[in-house]
Formats: sequence, structure tokens, C-alpha cells
Amino acid sequence: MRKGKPFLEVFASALNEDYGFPVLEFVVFAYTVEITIALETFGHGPEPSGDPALIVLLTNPISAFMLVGLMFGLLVLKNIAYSFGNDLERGVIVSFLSYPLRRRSLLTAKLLSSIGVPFMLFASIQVFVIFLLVPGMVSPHVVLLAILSVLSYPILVASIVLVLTIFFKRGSKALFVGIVLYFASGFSWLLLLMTGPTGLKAAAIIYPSIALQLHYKTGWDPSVLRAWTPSFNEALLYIGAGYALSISILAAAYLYFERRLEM
Amino acid sequence: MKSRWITLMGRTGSILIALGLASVLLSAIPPRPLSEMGPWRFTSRPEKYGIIHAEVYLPQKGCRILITTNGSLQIYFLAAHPLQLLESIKSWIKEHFPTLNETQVLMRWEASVLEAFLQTRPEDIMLKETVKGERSIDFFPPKATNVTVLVSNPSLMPVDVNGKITVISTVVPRGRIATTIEVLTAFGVALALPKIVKKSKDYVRSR
Repeated sequence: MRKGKPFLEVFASALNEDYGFPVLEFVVFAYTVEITIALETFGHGPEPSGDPALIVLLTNPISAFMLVGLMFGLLVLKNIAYSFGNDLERGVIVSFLSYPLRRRSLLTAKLLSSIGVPFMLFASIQVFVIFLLVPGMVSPHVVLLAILSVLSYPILVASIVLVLTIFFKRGSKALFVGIVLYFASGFSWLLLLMTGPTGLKAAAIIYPSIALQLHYKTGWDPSVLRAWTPSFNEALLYIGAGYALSISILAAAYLYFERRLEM
Repeated sequence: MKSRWITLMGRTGSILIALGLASVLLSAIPPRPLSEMGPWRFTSRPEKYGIIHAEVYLPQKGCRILITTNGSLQIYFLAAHPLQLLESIKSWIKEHFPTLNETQVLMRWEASVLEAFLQTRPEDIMLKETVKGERSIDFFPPKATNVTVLVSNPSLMPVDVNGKITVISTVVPRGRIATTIEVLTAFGVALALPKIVKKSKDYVRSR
């Protein structure tokens, strides 16, 4: 058996299990329609004004989390907590361990299906819509940064849910925590905002899109903009910090799955 | 392993088709009116032309001209600012009729002059339509453009014109979305075809 073959087998099986036809197709259809209408209606309509406008369009809660955007997040949580949790709970994962595949590769194949596919589609649809609506008027690096910043928090929640799922070996508790964290995001950054610039900086680690919005001086009340205006490098640093946080939690999940988890 | 690839390609294809269908739905949403000018009425003098409208338009923001005439008229959508256009026409007249004085140049609103001038600048004509009776024209430029709309009456009879201009906006740019739909659907069907064939074969075999 070639080296990549078992990995592909696990990945294909996870894809099959995570997304029955036509769940993914429906989400793609609905999200494309939703984000296009949201960008046109709540954004700057047919008259965009460069990168700052784009930052608002891509990173505001309307385009990122409203309705179907939220479905991507919930789909990821369901895949990790419910599908992967069930595999752990019922011992299905043991059959995968019989493949000539390292534990970390097994987890990577599972995560590629549960987190990689939906977030890749989420980002691809945003890029597709942006370049359909305002081609040539936006900088590709700003599109990339906006998408990275907006995906940071859902990836952080997904990492926490993964750790909890592996730790409890069942998904129900982890799914509950994940959903609460996901929905609490709106309230938590408002609370952090009230504590002043320090709270704002703390919130920007968890939601790096705040740093990007404040750098472009857009999407916020003028009083907040006066409180803290990060430089472009600082905004990058906050996006990096957000991902570092997620990566460290994911690393803990990998270590626990590889060395400590008993089946 | 081959069947795994067919499944993966099939799924990618069905996702592209879903994206194409979403684009079809978005392009089917009718344009919404933003503002309205008119109704107005005037008489277009024989063998003369005149400017009826000028505005900056975008691929998503265009105009709908509803026009009713009792004779044949030419409507031009030109990619030029009205002042620039008039200046260019003036220069063209001075170049071709050097004996005319300034006042005579300014008075030359002749349809034949416009025709001859536009023959030297065909790239400026974004849309040219002949109107007789009642007609509605939707116009969206492929990119942000200064648009001047002219009405020219090349006939020897005066023509009564009733019209209304509505600035309209679409969710997606009409020009770009058509190509996008074609590409997405073509790739989607091509990728999904092996899976559809396989499924059909399996179905026939099972019966």
C-alpha cells in the first residue's frame, strides 16, 4: 500500500460520513446567495471604496456569521463533536487505527474533512463573491487577511471542541460548550470593549478582525477608533497571535490523541 | 481507489453546479430602482441630435430608459463625459469645417455631424439602438464609466418623444455573471459526469 493511500482512504471515508449529499451543496448554494445579497445590501452596495470598505464587508458580523455563515461554523462543530466524538465513543476509531497510519495522520485526515473542507469553502465563496462584485478594486492581500482574521475565532472554538471531544471521548458535552462559545462571542467582545483599550487589545487576540478593522479605521464608533489604532504590523501580529492560540490548543489535542488517549 | 476519485470529483462537480445555480438565482433577481428622472417630453428636430442624460454608471448600477416616439430615432450610449464629448465634437467640426466661426460651430447639432464624428471614434459607442414606438432599454456598462446618452433624429420629420429614465441597481453585475455561470456549470457537469455515469450503470445493473 502506498504511503498516501490509507490517508486518502480515511479522508474519503470521513468526507462521506461528515457530508451526506446534498448538505454541502445546499450550504454552498445558500451561503453564496446570502453573502452576495448581504454584501450588496448591508455593505457599500454597488459603490465600494477600496480596502477599508472591503474590511468592513468581510469582517463584519453580518457577512461572517449571519444565517448560513453560521451554518458553516455549526457544521464544523457537529463534525468534530458529533461525528468524531461518535467514532471515539463507539470505538470506530480503533478500526482506523488498524490502517498503516500514524495516529497524528489519522487525526489530520479527520480534521481536514471536518474543519478544512467547510472553512476552505467558506473562504473560497467569499473570494468568489468579492471578485465577482468588485474585481480589480481590492488588494488580494487584504482579502486574504480579512478572511484569515474572520476565521480565527471559529478555528479557536473548533480547537477547543476537539480537545474536549478527545478528552471526554464523547461529543455531546463538547458540542454544547462549542455552541455556547460560538454564540457567546458577540457578548464577550462587547464586555471586553467596555473595559477600555486593554480589553480591546485582549479581545483582538481572540477576534483579530477587530485589530484589522481598527487599523483601517472603519466599522467602529469614533470613540473606539480614538482609543486604539493599531499599525498594520500590529494588526498582523494580532492575527498571528489568534492563530498561535488555536495552534497551541490543536497541538495539545494532537499530543493527547497520540500519546495519552487509550482506546 | 478509482471509485474514490470519481466520488471526490463528483462532489466537487456538484458543488460547482450549486455555485452556478446560486449565480443563476442571483442574476434572476430583478434590478431595483434607485432614482427616477421624468417623465419628460420634447420634440426632436429633423436631422438634429441632443443630449438627454449623463451619469457615471457601474457594472451593477445602470439605467432603464423608457421611451415612446411617433417616428424613428437613434439612441446612443457613449462612454464620455458630456463636456468632454461636446469639446471633442467642437474640435472635430473646427478641423473639418475651418471656415465656420465660433457661434456657427456651437450651432452645429446636426445628426450627420454626430454620425461622421462617431465613425472616427467607434470605441466610444457602448450601445446604439433604433427606437420607433414604445421601447424600454436597460443599460449596464462593463466597468465604471461616464455615460452620455444622445438622441439623434436622422429623418426629415420632427419626432415627438416621451421618456422616463430610472437609475437601477442589480445584485450582481449582469455582464460578468453570465460568463461565470457558463464556466461554473461546464466545469461542474464535466467533473460530475463520471459519477452520474457510474450511478446510472449501477442502477441499470441492480435492475
